[in-house]
Amino acid sequence: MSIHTRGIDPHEPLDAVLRAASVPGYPEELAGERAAMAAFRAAAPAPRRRSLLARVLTVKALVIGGVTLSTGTVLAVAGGVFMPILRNEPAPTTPADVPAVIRTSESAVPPLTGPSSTTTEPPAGESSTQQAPPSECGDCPGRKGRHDKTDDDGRPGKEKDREDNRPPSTRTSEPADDKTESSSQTQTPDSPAHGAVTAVPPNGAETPSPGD
Amino acid sequence: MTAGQTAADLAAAVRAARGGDDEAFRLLYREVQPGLLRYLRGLVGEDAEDLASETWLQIARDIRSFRDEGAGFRGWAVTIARHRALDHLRRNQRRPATGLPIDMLADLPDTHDTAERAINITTTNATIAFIASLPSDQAEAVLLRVVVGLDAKAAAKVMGKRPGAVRTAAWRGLRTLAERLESTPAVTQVGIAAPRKVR
Repeated sequence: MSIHTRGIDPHEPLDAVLRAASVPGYPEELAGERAAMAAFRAAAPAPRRRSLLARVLTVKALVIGGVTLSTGTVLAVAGGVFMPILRNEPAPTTPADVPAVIRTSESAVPPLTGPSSTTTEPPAGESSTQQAPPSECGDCPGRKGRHDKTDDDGRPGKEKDREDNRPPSTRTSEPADDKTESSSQTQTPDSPAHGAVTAVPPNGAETPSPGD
Repeated sequence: MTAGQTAADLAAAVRAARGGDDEAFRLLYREVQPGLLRYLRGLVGEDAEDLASETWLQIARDIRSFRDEGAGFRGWAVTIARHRALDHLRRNQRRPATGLPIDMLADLPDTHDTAERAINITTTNATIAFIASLPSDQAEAVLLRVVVGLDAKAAAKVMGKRPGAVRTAAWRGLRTLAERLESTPAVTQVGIAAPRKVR
């Protein structure tokens, strides 16, 4: 209590009065406890109503969200997944893939395919490098040569013998092209590099092929 | 002092009561009610108990939305009580009738004649009445600082004044009380004797 009497002369009666005013509560002063507790309990259900309302709203929001999500998924599947497949079916090779195929075919494949491809369509190959229509890509020289190669893998004929007689550099590059068509098509950025690698040996490879 | 628990303890009880804990609310009531009732008694006199009941009804209803704005739960409860007291005084258009005149302190019987509790209650009520005889600002400042147990900042928030003004009002009120006690020896005698019986 000294804080309350600061600046005032020490006054024992005043301290006694202040102590009497601030003594702990008497039971008589707590007579309204029951009423206060009853009011507290009566006020308790109010938040429960809110929580029930919140639950209902949450369930509604979840249902709406689920319906929206499922509808969006169906639309996405119908328009975003199936349609590209349908579009790609007639044209499995995109125009961007064609130059890579043609480069490799120009650099490495024509010597391998030999006179059959070079004699039939050399100008078509040049035109296909410029336009590269997806439908004509199957007819391009590189592609044709590649088809020939796959056929060669199937039958051990002259072409197979040429493969075996080629220099190792071209042989190592060939399996990469022969694995799948799609791999060579998807590796469009790499294909010039393959072409560059294979382009050097073909100069040497061209000599063996006529030599053979 | 009625502020038997620290503000941190009360804050924990307030959090529990906001979550619906009955016992926490009971603890709050038992801690705050005595000071609140005495404060109201100093403001409105005999109608203090009715106003205290109304105050606790509002506290029970609004405690879940309680936000501590500096004065704590005790200050918030006292602010509610104060608003109700001021409304009550406006309705009645009169100064609060103190429960006991200051002369009652001199006429208190000796503690050997009556039950100790009755003496203590009467002494406490007489002391509150003695404080309430001060000018209203001084009386309220003393009640809030001494009886309710608020610090100057919280008391200033309750009264809508600056903490310096509350300190000054409380200091002037205590000085006035000391002067009155010196001029009334019988009061001094009772004032000394009664609190010693209280634990």
